[in-house]
Amino acid sequence: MLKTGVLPPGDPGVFKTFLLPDIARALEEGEPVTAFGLAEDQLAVGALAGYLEGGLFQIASLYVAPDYRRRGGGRLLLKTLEKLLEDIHTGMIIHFTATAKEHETLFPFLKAMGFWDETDEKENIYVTTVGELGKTSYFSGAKETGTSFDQLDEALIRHAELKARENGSPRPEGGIDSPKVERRISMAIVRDQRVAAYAVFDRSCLNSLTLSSTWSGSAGPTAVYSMIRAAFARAQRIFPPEEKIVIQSVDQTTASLIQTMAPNAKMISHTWMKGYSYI
Amino acid sequence: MCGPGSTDLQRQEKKQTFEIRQELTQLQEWDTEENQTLEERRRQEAERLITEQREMNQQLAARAAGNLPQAQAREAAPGNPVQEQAAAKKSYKQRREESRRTKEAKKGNIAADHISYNMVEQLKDLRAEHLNSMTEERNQIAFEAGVDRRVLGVFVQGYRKNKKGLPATEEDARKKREDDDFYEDYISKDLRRRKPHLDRFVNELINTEISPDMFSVEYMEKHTREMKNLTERLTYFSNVMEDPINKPYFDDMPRPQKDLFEAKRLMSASYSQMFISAARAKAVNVNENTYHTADLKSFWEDMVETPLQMDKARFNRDYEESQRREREIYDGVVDQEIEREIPVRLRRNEEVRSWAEASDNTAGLNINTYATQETYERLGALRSAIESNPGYYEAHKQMVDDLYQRVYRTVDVLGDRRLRALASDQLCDIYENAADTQEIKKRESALAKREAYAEEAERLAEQFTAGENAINFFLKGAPLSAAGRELIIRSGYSGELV
Repeated sequence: MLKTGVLPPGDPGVFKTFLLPDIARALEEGEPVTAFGLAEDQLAVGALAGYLEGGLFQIASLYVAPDYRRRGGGRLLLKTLEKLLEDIHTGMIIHFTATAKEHETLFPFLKAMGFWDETDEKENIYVTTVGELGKTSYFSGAKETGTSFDQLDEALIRHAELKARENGSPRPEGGIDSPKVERRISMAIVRDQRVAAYAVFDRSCLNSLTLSSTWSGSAGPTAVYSMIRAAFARAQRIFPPEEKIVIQSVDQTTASLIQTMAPNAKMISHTWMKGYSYI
Repeated sequence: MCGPGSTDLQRQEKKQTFEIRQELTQLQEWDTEENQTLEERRRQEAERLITEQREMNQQLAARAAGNLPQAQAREAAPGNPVQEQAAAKKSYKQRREESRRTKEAKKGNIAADHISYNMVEQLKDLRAEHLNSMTEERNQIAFEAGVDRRVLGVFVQGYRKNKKGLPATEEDARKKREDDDFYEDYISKDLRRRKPHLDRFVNELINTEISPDMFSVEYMEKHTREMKNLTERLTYFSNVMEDPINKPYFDDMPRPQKDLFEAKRLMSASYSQMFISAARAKAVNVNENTYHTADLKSFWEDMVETPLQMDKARFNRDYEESQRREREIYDGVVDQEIEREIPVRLRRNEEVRSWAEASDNTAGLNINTYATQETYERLGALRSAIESNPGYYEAHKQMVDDLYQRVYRTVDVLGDRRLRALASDQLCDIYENAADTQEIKKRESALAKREAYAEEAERLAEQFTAGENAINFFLKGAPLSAAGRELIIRSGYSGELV
């Protein structure tokens, strides 16, 4: 019979294998994480862990071993958590990125458990391929603007990074001048020997080509669209059609742009919630 | 239609707005305890805001532990969300060479193997190279001059000779020249001549990374000579320091260099002992540069395992303390540099502050730390919302004042954290291409501080949003978020939610 129990801070024991690395580490280091293990007799078969933040319990990790699914184990873990949260009238929220087939089993499961889809289309991660982008009409005949980073002077890129940091402009992790930036398709508009706008690609998400930051600066918002066109056109010349491209939307405007540029792009970042409704 | 009545109403509204503004401006002042600086008060508030969430999580985890039994399992079913990398494999040629070396090593001690062989060969080479620089003749001269020969023997680099007795390569020739200079300068007993060498030895030690990983078999096999060299230098540094000629150099060493030097030296005894024990586990006698002669295999527990575990515990304890001291020293240095950078950053924010003062909506907010235009606008909007609802404000003054003050202080502390994150960021930039260990450690400290400040800033930004949401909920009927609700309850106003 499946049973749940608390995982003590500092020692998740054999249940560690079912926790995502970051939350497992936090639990091992004695951080105030609430975690439960799922076991049958003396065999660990699953775990759930998370913490309170922003008025909700953030489920940071939820996993049941494949051979023990469809037996009510996931349900039992969630019910255990719900009972604990009852007294403090707090809801639950889970964010996940659906990149593997098995992640798709989460949707019917969460729905059956009373969660609702709170996924924000405006702030999301979209995945498409170089080949798919080539099929859309968005790029045909459109103006391409900008110079790729691999054709720019290093000092120019460095200066752009310093300015971006000072102004708090969007930058990729590690900076615009980081060696992790994919310079062949990252684009910049140069005016008066200074970078006036940029669109930077790296491999920060899912180890795929990622449009990680854009800044329109003094060149205006249409410049960003032109640079992205130029970047994708270059990508089609350099990368095979099956090469994945990841684009993050940060507001309705960028979400609409992505949906226009890549209507077949798949939204992979999901948020499901239960137990709290806004007044 | 305008008339005397409406002018009176306008005047009254203006007066009310002015009075409310006065009240809210007073809430923007920080209350400090006796002898407490504003900076200390700000830090106190930051800690309180940041640890509130942590305390809630601690309470929840404690309740879970109290209400439920502990999860029990002896093993785990297959399956996990993480993948591991496979280790590399050895080639046939490598395995054959290892076999030959193992046979050779076992002639020295039955417990030895190919790794022991590699270690002993390195020790022999090191000894021979040192003797090339510290010849018998030089030893005699040093003895007659009253200079510690062991110090000379340990601090020379040594060099390899070719069949003709000359330095084997350019690199060996350079080492010989440097050793000759060192010998002459040290023998002179003149501290001014000794100083450049002492500088070099101290900096080399400060820049040397020492860690428990060095005692893994893989590391020891590859770096035996460096470890032996380090052991000897750590041991004989006390001889160097006790030499009356050198004493003024060490007495006058500036901080933080002196502290870093001492933090490394505290591992001297336990490092040396650990090296001896770990090498013994491979049947290698590091003092004699050969294999142990004792029958280690038959008395493994007493002669190898037990002393090794004890020495390991001692070394680990000294290592932790050394690391703690080093972190403290580098953190202190970086903190000072951050403090120097802060006024520079604040001056760059002057433009925003001037803009804020020039606008009715944001004038008088008096945020003394870093703030973006957006922050000023949001805070100004909250203040306006309060001023535009004098009736509600009067009826709920305590609550509105509490929430406003909380939001204001959050914004102030948030600005401080952002400022420190920016200052740390600047330091990361300065030390980005650091090659020197000390600069690398400063960069690591600056990076850690940047992440910590940025993380705190993120938490505080969320609290700002929650506070803003709570005030707008009461004053404008805006939808209440989970975070806003939690803040209202935590502030003691859950009754207002009914």
